[in-house]
Amino acid sequence: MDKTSEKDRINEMIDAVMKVARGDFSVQIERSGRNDDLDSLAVGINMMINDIEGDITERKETEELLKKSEEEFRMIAENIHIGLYYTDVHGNFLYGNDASAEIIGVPKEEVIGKNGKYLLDLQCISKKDYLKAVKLLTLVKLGKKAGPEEFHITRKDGTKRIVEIRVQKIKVNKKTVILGIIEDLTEKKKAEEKIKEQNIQLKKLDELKTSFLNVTSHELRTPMTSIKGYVQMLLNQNLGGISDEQKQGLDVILRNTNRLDSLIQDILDVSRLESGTLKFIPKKTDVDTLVGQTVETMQASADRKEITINADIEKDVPGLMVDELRIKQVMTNLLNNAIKFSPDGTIINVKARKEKNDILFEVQDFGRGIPKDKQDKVFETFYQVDSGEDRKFGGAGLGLAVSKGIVVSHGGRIWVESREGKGSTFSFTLPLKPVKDLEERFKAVDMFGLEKTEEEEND
Amino acid sequence: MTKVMVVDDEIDVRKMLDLMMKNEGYNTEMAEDGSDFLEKVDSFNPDIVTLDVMMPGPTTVEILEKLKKKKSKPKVILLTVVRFDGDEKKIFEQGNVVDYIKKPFDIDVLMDAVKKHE
Repeated sequence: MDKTSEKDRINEMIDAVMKVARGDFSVQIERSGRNDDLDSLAVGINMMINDIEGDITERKETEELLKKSEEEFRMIAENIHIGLYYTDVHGNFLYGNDASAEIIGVPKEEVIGKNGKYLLDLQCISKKDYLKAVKLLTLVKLGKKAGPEEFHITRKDGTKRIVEIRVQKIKVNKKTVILGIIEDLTEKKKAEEKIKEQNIQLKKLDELKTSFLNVTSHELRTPMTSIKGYVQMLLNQNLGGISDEQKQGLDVILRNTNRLDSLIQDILDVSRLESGTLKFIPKKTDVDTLVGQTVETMQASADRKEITINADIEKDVPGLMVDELRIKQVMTNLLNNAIKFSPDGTIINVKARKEKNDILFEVQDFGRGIPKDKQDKVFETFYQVDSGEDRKFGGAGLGLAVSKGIVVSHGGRIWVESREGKGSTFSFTLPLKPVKDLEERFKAVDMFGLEKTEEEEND
Repeated sequence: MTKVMVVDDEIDVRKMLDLMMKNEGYNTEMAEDGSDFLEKVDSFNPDIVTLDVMMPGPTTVEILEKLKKKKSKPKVILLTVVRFDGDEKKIFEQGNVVDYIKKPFDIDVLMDAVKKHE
């Protein structure tokens, strides 16, 4: 039996409650065992102590979590490589992260608490840029779109930076602040400048190349003019009679002069295409004459392989408004290829006729043909169906690409139908109604197959 | 007899063209550049001129503009290696130009053009 007096028991309870008030939850009040009111009170107080202890632990844990997450966010803001800061609505700096201080080159401690004008005083920004910042602040306060704007920063150490700032109005703890995000564009701008410079250099180089090609081709063609002219005069026996052997020799010279000439033409055209300086001079052109003269030019090459060229021009076919020399160039290319790939003693059919609103031209040979998967590619620059085999036949793989450019520029189409071992028919159309902006159309022709995606390439 | 004047700064080409024209039975005269041509044109008074494009001295447009002020009104066939010096539209606006032929040329093509305009 406990002999403790009631007064002692009450004092014990007061002590316990006082300890709890001081934050000590380790106390528990012993019961007397008398099961009287004081024992009930003791049980109640004990329960209360346990509950309070539980609550407080929970609160502490929550506080700790909050603190941790706040720290995490602060760490992110501090360490992110984007400049972050915020000001009050008057433009006084309240916060800035390390990156923002690094970008503007002024320590955080120096700026925080000061107005944005301080940066003007430091000559960190120009008057013009300061006014731009004031305008941004005004706009964003009105809830309007503000920025991004570019600013030129002079850091304390004298180095310069180009930055882009965007601002946004947000509420933090029921207070409106203006959050700013600073992005350092200095390196990006430098890289852009470099690319610009390189582009200028490249353009200069390109102009140099074009003028070199122009001069070279002029220098090459001037002597070829005399060679070709005299060879033709000799062949025509304008300068006296010649023997069969002499005629054969002169034929070879003429053929090879023509070959050189067309190669120079192709190289020049490709370079003009690249630089976008190819010019067209449309004039009224008679289809019959155009085809006739082209066939005549190629006759010597055909004769050598005993190939017969049959020209079938529709009667009264209407004239065209085209660059005659360029269209002859296309016809010559097609005929030249046809002769090149035709077996000796075969036939080549050349046709021209009106079809709807176009004149359709066809050059048909009975040579080895082109495999189906390569039929589109023959119109690409430097493409040859079989590099090894074609080398034997000569040619740089430029002719058809240039031909396509010329035909498309005139508003026409060019294509090939072919069966391996049976021969090929190259066709192109030219509209009866002349098109405008031929040069612009030519520039748009993808002669190099550059605009194809990889998928198409693999088809 | 049709009179043809051959204007080319390259002596080989000039003499060859002259020979070609003579072979066809034309009365010919030569000039070695634009200035030479403009000096001689009125005294020779040609029907047709083969005019090289891109010669030293005056440009094609300048030659054609000055030609308009001459008494002689020949038809002009341009012979060109790298197409045209300067603005080709302007060249063709001069009116005297009736044809142009690319060098190196086929004799037949040149002669067809000359005959067409003689």
